[in-house]
Amino acid sequence: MSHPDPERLVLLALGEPDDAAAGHLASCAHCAAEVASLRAVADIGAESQEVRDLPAPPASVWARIEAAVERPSTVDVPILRPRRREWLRLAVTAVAATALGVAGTLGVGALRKEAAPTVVARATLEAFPNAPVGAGGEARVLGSGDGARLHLHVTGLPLSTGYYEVWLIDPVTMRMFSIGHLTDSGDVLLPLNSTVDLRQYRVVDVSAEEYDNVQTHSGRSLLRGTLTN
Amino acid sequence: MATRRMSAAESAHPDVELAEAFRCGGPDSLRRVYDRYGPAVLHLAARGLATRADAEDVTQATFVAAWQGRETFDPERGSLLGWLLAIARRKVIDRIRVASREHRVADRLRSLPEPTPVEPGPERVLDRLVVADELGRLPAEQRRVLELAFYDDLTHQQVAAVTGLPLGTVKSHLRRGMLRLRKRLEVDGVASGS
Repeated sequence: MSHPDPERLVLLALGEPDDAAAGHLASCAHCAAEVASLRAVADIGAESQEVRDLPAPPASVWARIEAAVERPSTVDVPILRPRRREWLRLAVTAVAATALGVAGTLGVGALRKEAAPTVVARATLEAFPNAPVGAGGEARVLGSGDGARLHLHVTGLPLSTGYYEVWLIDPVTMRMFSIGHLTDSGDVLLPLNSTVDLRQYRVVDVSAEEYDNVQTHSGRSLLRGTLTN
Repeated sequence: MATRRMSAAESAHPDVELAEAFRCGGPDSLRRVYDRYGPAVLHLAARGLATRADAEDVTQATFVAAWQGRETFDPERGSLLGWLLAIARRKVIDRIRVASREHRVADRLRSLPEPTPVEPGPERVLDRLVVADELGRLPAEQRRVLELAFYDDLTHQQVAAVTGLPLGTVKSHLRRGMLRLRKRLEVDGVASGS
């Protein structure tokens, strides 16, 4: 049995009369299935007219999205978290930079440009038992209000397949939120939301995380310290 | 060979570039994705939910979730629109379930059937949105031919008369366009796909 030309099947599916082709379908399951599938597409195609020029959502929706992605919370992801490949590239760059002896210079230079911001609080980060021997660090809160930042200096954490995330924790309620992640240089400046009460969220915690799209704390804390004035 | 040419053409498409910028967390990419696909997400949510406020909540939650999970978007598995609509659809269904659960609590004696979404159902609406998007990606002449067949219900002879294109070209556009729409539905659609 010879099948009708594929273009005729399309026209049939679009509703054009073609008795010969239609007759063929009665005895050919293959062409019947093809036409049925094309007809489904044609039906949706015809209905698609009503969704061609849809109105934009009201401005309030965007305002809420913007607020939600900027506000740190337990389900927030640091905006600048690198993808795995970039992470590896950053790691390689950091190693190369260290070899040239410029990584420290860059870090210090970047910090110096800030015209010696006031240190309003600091914490010594102590290693948990599961952290590599010799790991440790220091956290300093620089400035206050809108320009407040947390400077972390961390040593002894090895390159990992995942990344290290920095959290602020309220030791009373154990509520926490992420404020960013470490870079391989060991020094990082993380912006602090001006609404954060550092007397409440006073514990700085560094956790080992995997690229698993789980945004909550992994439970594997490596370093921790309490901010004091 | 043909596959290679096709993927090269696709990667040059602005939507594909936008999706890639979004996946990498590029500056303004969330806003651009929202401007591009916000209307479709809101439409899907509004067709599935009872109130406008619920639909706007789902729209907001969809884009926030998409931004937070942007690294999990895999362009090999479908378009960004398809991915966003799948997130929105899950959120719509969750809302319907919650509403239904609350209803059950209020009326324990009656065992409610599975929630029946407002017709035509989010699946159908999702498919329409995906097809509309793919139509927008077709070459202009092919798109015009399909629109005349779909929306104005013209026969291929009438389409040829209206556009001045040869009959053979019209038939070829119809077939190629239909096959592309079908393929896109297989990737991103619900009713015809997964």
